[in-house]
Amino acid sequence: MANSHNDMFQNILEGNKFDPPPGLSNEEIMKRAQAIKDGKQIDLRNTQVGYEGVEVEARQNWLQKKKPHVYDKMMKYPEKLARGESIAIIQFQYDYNCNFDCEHCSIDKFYVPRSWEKASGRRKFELEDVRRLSKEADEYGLGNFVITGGEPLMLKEYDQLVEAIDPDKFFIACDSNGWLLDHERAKHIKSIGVDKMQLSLDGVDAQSHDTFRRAPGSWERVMRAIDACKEADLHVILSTVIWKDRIYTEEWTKFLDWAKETEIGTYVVFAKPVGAFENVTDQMMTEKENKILEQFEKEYDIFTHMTPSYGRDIGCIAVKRMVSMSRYGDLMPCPYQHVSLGNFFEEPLGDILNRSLNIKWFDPMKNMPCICGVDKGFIENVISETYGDSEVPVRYDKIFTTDDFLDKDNIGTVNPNSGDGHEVQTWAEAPLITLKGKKIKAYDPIEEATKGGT
Amino acid sequence: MSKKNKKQFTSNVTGEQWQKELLRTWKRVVNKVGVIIEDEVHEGKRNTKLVLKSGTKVIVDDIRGRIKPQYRVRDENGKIWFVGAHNVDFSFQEDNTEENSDPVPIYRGGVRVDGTAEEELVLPKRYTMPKSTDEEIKALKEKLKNNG
Repeated sequence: MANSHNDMFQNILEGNKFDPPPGLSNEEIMKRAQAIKDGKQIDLRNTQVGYEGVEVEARQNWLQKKKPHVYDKMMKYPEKLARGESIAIIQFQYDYNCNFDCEHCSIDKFYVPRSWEKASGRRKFELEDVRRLSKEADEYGLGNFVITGGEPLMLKEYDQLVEAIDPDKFFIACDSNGWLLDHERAKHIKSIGVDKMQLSLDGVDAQSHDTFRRAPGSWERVMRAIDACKEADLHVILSTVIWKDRIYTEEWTKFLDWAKETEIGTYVVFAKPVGAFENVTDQMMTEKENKILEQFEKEYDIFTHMTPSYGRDIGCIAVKRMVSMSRYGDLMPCPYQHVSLGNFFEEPLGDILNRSLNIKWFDPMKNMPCICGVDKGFIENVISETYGDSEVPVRYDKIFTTDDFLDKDNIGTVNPNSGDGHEVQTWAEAPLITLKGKKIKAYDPIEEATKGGT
Repeated sequence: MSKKNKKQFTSNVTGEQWQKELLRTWKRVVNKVGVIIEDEVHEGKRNTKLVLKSGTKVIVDDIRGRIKPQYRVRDENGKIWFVGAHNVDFSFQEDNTEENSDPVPIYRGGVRVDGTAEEELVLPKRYTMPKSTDEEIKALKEKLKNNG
């Protein structure tokens, strides 16, 4: 079974605008490719990209009609990736307040009590900062925000936050534990421009979910939230944590069967040895469990952060397709790498992103493994620096050396004499990202067109 | 802490038992001296272990975490540790005479309004950055450019 989890933008990007639409003559293909190279707007109306079929077309039409600016940006993603730019979803940790005490919480160390936050003078996101973030992200060509937390639906200023992000400029998703999501709220959330809810569900039965979330009654609330989203026609997916033992349980297959029956896609989140699971490595997924999960992916509508999409397998999505923005302005490579790549209150988003893509671990041309999940060298040299008595997030210049950078002229505040010439082995051994089987570095629209397409 | 907050959960994943520990009001702990109740064993780099011995006096200067609340403390040598909020005892200080106890400052919107002097806070630089604007960012970029 194909992954029907692909939402509207993923389907759009499963192919891309560089791919010649079917039925074009060679002359037309050449003309079109030249237009791409010249940076001219091309007519996308007849471009059949993504999976073939009515559903894809309907989704493309929906996004194009409803959020034309977002649609245009997303159609440029393949081009941006080919140029070595980020197409990151901004996972926005606007507030860490939460009504749950989930045992796997990865950002607990970031929480500061509100009154102490004020008294200690920490700089945090205000709505005017969010507007600037939105502006800079839009100018960079990014098209996705995920509002996360904490529990976003606890925010008094939720509507203003969504407005500040600007639903016309972004596809907006929102994480939630579902506790505060009833029918009226779902209808309202949809009306203010949120496109998708991602609900946490960690057990097919109330007992297992409620224990993991440490919130009796929460399973019932998630069920209510799913119904509410469906009734309100608000796109909904599930998010569930997988750890080593869970994948072998009957509960796991029951969970998948139930999700399939309910026709809801499920994002499977790997337990990582950070946050509340810091140093808990015996329950982390290994290569064996990853292989088992891949088999499940064929049978069920599930996906992980490593699932190939957008017409290419980019491997680890850190910085390339995902960044986390903390409440205090620190940009991190993903929710599990508590490394500050730079602070938004100190320098522009684009500068931070471009410098980060210059770090070998986040090389936009390389297909890296899930570095914070399986790469022992990265965990030992980078992730472990964020453990214990470290103040998180740890600044990039405290962790990376010049050896970690591709272009030694763009290393920010890293000590120029910090490297000792050691090669980043994982990077050296990683294959290049491929675009439909072709090396992305060698990709050229004209050449592709001349050869008759993909 | 009231009894109703002491509900215990046993993890399906790690088997660990957990119960909610509440942070004390920050006013009652920040810049206060406490005593470590049980040895704090922390993992250092290259598989080393660091121990903050029970009975050690520490001074609290920051707070983090809600599920596993921690105080950032300094020991007598100035070394920074993050210790579990439940593992620091302040009771000896609370029994002190009035002249030794600090008045609780009053804040409104993060600004001290009780007329007393603001204590100097030891915070990482990034928390004390002035509020930036587009102009400030531009100026910063210009400065960085000029400095090569």
